Amino acid sequence: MHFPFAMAINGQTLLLSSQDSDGKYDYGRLVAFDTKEIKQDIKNLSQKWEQLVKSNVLIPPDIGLISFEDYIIFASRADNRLYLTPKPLCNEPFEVISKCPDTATLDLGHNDPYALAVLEKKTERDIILASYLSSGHLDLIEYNKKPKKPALKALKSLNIQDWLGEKYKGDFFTKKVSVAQANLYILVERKPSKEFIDDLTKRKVSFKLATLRKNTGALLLKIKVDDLLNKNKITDADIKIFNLQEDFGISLAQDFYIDKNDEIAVILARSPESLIKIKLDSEKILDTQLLCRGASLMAVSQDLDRIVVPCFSDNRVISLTLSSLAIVAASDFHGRGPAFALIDEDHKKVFVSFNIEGKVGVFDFDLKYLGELFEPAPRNRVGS
Amino acid sequence: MLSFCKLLILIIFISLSCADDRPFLQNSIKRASDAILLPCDPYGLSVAHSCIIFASTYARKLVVFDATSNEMVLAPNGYFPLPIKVGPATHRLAKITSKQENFPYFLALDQALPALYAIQAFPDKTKKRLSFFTPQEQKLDKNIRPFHMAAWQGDDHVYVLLSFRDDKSIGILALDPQTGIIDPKVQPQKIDLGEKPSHIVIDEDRKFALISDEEKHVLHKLDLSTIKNILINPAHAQKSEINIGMPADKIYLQKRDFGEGLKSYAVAFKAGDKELKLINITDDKISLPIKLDAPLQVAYFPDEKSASCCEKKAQSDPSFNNRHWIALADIKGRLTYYLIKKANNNLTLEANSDEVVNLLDEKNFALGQLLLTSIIGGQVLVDPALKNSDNCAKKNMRKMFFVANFATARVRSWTNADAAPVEEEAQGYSCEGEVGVTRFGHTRE
Repeated sequence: MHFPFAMAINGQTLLLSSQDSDGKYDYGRLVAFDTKEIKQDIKNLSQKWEQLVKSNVLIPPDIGLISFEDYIIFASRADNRLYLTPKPLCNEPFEVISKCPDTATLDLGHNDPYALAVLEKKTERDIILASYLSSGHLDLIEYNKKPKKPALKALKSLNIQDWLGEKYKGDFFTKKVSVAQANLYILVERKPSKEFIDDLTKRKVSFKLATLRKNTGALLLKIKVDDLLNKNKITDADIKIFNLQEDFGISLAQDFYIDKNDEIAVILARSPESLIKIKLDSEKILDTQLLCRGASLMAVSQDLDRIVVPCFSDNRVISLTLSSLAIVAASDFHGRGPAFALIDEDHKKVFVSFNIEGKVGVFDFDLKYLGELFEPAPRNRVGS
Repeated sequence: MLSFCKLLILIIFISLSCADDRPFLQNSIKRASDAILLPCDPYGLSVAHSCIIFASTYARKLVVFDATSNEMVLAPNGYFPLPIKVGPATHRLAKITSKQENFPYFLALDQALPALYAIQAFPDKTKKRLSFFTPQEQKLDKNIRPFHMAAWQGDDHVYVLLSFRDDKSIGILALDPQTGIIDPKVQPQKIDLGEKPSHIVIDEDRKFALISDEEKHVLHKLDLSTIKNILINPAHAQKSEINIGMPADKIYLQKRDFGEGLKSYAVAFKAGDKELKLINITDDKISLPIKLDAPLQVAYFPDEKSASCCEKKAQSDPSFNNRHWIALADIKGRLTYYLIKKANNNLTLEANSDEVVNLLDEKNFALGQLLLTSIIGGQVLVDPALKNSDNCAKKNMRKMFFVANFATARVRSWTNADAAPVEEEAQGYSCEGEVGVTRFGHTRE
């Protein structure tokens, strides 16, 4: 598989996808496995993985994160479209997903769609939120379940920039969104606005680092889903802003997790590259832990008290406890470019996509390597 | 071909002759998770130097900076820093609190395995175990993960305290004082302690240990004189609590005389909080909470032999001309010296706000962001055989070493808003009490 990246699991179905950001290939793949079957003869998985594949459909080459609850949704950065399919199967193997009979698609209208969330679930219709890696746009999309073929419709488009007023100037973009207890959390980074850069180059503002710091940094925003759906205008009064740079020293953030009770946030920071656990009501740091290099995303299981972090640059995977961020295990080298991890809670396994190596590694819960899905790429293909 | 070889030799010769004879090897101490300063004999020459041992959690090795000669301790090939091989998540180090000046080894702790390593800082008498040779991995109980450790020399063993934050307990191990190997005849023990025991410090007289409790907001005080009884039966542990009314994951303990005779004082706070407390451990007296305007990172609380701070401030306020100070670094990258003053029978801190050191500044670290692991320091041993060009040594001043676990340089391109910050190595030093920092290996543009 070329450049495996995002994965998702629902029950016994494991979904693996590829992300070809270079546009080397016309299509990527969305492959489904039955997790029950990834158990026997696991060391020889790379030779017999094809026998275990439940479905294998072609998708656009560069997709973002996958949401997989009652149905599968993902957005493509290649054509800026949202894709929704109730099941990971097409009538024909190797079919292009847009031709699968149950798949609905929608043009999103903004570049780089990435993270998605289901905001509201009703019998007849759901509301889906799409966010973008290169802007602060948020699109609300209706998924109408009533017709025989699922239908997607754009409801409204919002922009984070409009919410934050004068206090936070800059160009925002969204790294991740997540819903917890009827609240939507949005992790945004901001970079200096074009006006600021113009002023800087014309020396209208000082070149001091402090000036730049004021115009950059990561924020975690919290907004009630109800407000987002029903209010005509969102203002900064409707939003709780966690200023990660000023209050916690996080200038860039990669990922976050909110616990089931909506009490604790774990931020995967890129600068400084570390995990920081915050109590949301008191806004106090509970624990911090340094990370390995290139920590890209994290997989979290609250029930099993575990966080798994793939470290792209260190070519290793580490696991920690969610309760105190204690390091439980650090894997040996098993491939280049670990980029995405997923915890299979039922079988106590960890799946890691090795983006450069072109394979998905299967680990036990102590990060002992069990085997791999897909045939790994030749070692001399891409350097790392 | 011959002329090419000549040219190559000439280039090598020129580059060697122009090179600093004691280079700091850049990119060998990134992401330090812990560091300790201790006497050592790096090359077995029977001369004590001062060494800083650096741990970097996922590096699977420790590296050593010889602070006496101002250079990295090198591997046998002479080109690269000597790697001391340890586990996959070796995150903590501990020196042994002892009366013995040149204690032969120090300890490293791996949280993931978990495992303990005793590493020679001096060769043993037989010279079979050389300084910094690859240590033996001593596996610990896999079911509980140690967070922090401290160790001291007792009558017939070296004892190690380990904090188990998730297990609400601390552990005790007895090591052979010569080799650092866990004594198989002494059963390791565990003591239930509070809610979330974390940071451990040992009193320099080895009479008590302080263990911070992040949940219960107390400092546990454990009497070390009964350690042998505790190892027989943990129920014999003599412990008490000092209620500090706030969480703390950092404790700095020193014996100081702040006008009431020599007493044990602790500075306690939680990294990321804006509040700290100064505690008179001897008399069980706690200062009022000291509020700061930015979340704290680390503190430097020197011992009784500290230098004075705040020369410039002392010109306008002579009370600042004394050795009663602590230095605090906050997440904004500022280092502030605070004078410890007595007011209404209570200790308070007064900031030297005239001389706040902006660590990020061009003349100091020259960085965009800096996250410190610790500031360690004290007297650096002098080797008369070495020419020392160091400023602090010339002035016969003690040193403070800034140990960083993450730092970024300013973005390379001001006009490119997408330019990500570049991670930098940022270890540095200053003379104790001075305003300004020098970054190792950094050449100013």
